[in-house]
Amino acid sequence: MSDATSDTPLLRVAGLSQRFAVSRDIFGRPSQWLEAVDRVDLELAAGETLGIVGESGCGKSTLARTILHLHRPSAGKVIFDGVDLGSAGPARLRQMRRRMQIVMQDPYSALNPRRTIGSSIADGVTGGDRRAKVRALLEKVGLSAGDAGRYPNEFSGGQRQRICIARALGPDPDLLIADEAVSALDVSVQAQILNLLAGLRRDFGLSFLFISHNLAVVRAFCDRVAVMYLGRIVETGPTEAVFQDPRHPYTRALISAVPIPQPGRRRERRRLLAGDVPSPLDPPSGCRFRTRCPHADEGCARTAPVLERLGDARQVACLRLGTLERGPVWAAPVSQAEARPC
Amino acid sequence: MTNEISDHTGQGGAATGRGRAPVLSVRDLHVRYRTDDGDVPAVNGVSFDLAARETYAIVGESGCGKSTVALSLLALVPVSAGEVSLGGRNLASMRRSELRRVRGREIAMIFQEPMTSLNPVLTLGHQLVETIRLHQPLDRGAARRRAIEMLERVGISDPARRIGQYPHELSGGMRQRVMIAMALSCNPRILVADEPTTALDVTVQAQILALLDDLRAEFGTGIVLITHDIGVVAEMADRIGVMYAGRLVEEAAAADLFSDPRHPYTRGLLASVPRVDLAPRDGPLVALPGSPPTPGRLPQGCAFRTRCAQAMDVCAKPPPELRGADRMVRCWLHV
Ligand SMILES: Nc1ncnc2c1ncn2[C@@H]1O[C@H](COP(=O)(O)OP(=O)(O)OP(=O)(O)O)[C@@H](O)[C@H]1O
Ligand SMILES: Nc1ncnc2c1ncn2[C@@H]1O[C@H](COP(=O)(O)OP(=O)(O)OP(=O)(O)O)[C@@H](O)[C@H]1O
Ligand SMILES: [Mg+2]
Ligand SMILES: [Mg+2]
Repeated sequence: MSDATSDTPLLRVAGLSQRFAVSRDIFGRPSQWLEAVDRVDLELAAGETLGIVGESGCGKSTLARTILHLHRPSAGKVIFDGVDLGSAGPARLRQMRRRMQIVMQDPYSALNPRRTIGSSIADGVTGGDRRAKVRALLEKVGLSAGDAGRYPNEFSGGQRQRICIARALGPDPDLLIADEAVSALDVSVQAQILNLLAGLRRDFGLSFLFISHNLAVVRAFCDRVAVMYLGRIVETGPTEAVFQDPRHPYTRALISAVPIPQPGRRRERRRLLAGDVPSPLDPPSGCRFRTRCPHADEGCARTAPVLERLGDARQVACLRLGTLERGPVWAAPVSQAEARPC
Repeated sequence: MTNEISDHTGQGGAATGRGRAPVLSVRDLHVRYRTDDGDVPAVNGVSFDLAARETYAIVGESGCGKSTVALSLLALVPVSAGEVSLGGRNLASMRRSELRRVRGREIAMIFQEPMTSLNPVLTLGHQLVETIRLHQPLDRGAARRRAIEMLERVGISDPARRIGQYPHELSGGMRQRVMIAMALSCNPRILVADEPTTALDVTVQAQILALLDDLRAEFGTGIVLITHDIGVVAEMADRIGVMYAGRLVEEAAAADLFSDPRHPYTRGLLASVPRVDLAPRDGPLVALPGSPPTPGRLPQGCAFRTRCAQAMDVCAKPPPELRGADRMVRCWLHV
């Protein structure tokens, strides 16, 4: 983190867009575009964890891949530790990318089944005694050094996810992008992996971009959160501010849709959101959420809202913000015992 | 000693404990899969009852045997011991033709990924009409009207047009609605739902759960809900069976299980679920150590003891099943 000080963020994303040509005319020119990520701004300080939430297809993975420049952005900039990745040459880009590692959702397809896990992990490790480093990494993620010679199929899903994390840690990254890294795991194993990641954050000052559709996990793990809908960020702010007082109607609907593991709360009837996410090929005009929003009026069809700053380091993109309900979606539990019996 | 099962009228069966005859009753069910590497004992003695209008949830980690139990309720996997009875009749004693009639009319199933159970080359209407006519003596026109009515009932707008569409033209949530419509089109007494919302977004999941609950109330369908999502269980279930390594280790009414979980596995499972409605506590999340054992390589005695913080010497022997006051637990701490 050479030139990152407390006021220059480790990662800065400005006006980032990614669109895909989904059909072409007879001359091979794109005739229809899908805007998967639309003018996203975000910042991440060293040691900070930013959660990205939103429903399937809202652009979370595309945002991650575009930040890593696995896809060239259609517009906008990614500045990592002061370096603009868009204007960096191939060697420089490779060097920066080593410092930004990604862990993906599916621990089954992410590892080469014909290679020992030790050799998969060793790929990313540089300099010094590579075998010693591989052994240390395995121990760091809660496996044993002796596992290095074994193959992926000898491990459970949770263990494979640990192996993927060990591999991502090989190049000593500053930023770890976790794209649904715990979504495929059972709750017990999910808690183990989250504790492991929290330990890495504490011990090595890693920054995280934590992508998940699981809001409870995001609340437990992230300092700040950004809520995406059809390629755009609709609300962002400190995690507790957003969960205790969600302001955007989509954030409110999303949070209230999560089932609560406490039977007494089930009848606190929440407002159900009607319909599905519209097709990203033909997004609604104006505010993209308006077709499912209980508060939308004609203005919402005409004007696309932009993120506006609120007092508490929060930004919300909603034209009707001043007129909406606010406060917690869920009433506070009467007692701690009621909330957490075990 | 682990398999003391009382008959339907005794205090043993969960639902019968409250005086209603069960519509479904499972007794000491064992299922083994035959594979090249030997037998996989996937279900090792599961017993429970389902009453009409009741939602019985089976919850547990991946691989514990939930789907295998679900499939055995429709005789879709070979049961190696024990029995499944519907309205007092043992599935194993039924002939093939009788089984075909029972499936769909008395017991129907919906799966996690509706795309795999819908035929991609046939219209929704075709599939719905066929299903209805298989079980009901209706002509094509009447079956079509019934299909449209069901689609409407599950919240599909413009059903008369939708009926001409193919599965890929629908979103995941709509496909799951169609599956529910199909499953309920012959008004079965029992619906088996295996991870019905796992592939869906939370907003759509909330719609589907509300729909299932409404239909249960309206038609009196009993639901066996299979899921690994503790939140979904809390929201939907009347009774809950917690499954570990092919067995139920605890069973109770939903409120009791959550307010007073007894088995260390249940306690660990519930405690490790992060909460969206509460600010996180300081410090690490509660996490059960390790992962579930592989079938065929289960520890002797209590299968959970290798992960259990309270394991004792006696746990190397199979724990007895303690039944009483409408709940069951299978643990040496509770004998
Ligand atoms: N290479 C591509 N070509 C065309 N469209 C794409 C491509 N990659 C993604 N998309 C589309 O971009 C949109 C965003 O996809 P993305 O995978 O980023 O969503 P996501 O939020 O990660 O969803 P999920 O929660 O399902 O992982 C989707 O509509 C998707 O179909
Ligand atoms: N057709 C099969 N042949 C052999 N083994 C099988 C078969 N189906 C399931 N199994 C094994 O039986 C055990 C129970 O599987 P089952 O699918 O019932 O679990 P589950 O609780 O539904 O898991 P999940 O939550 O992952 O769906 C697992 O160990 C599984 O690998
Ligand atoms: Mg994704
Ligand atoms: Mg299953």
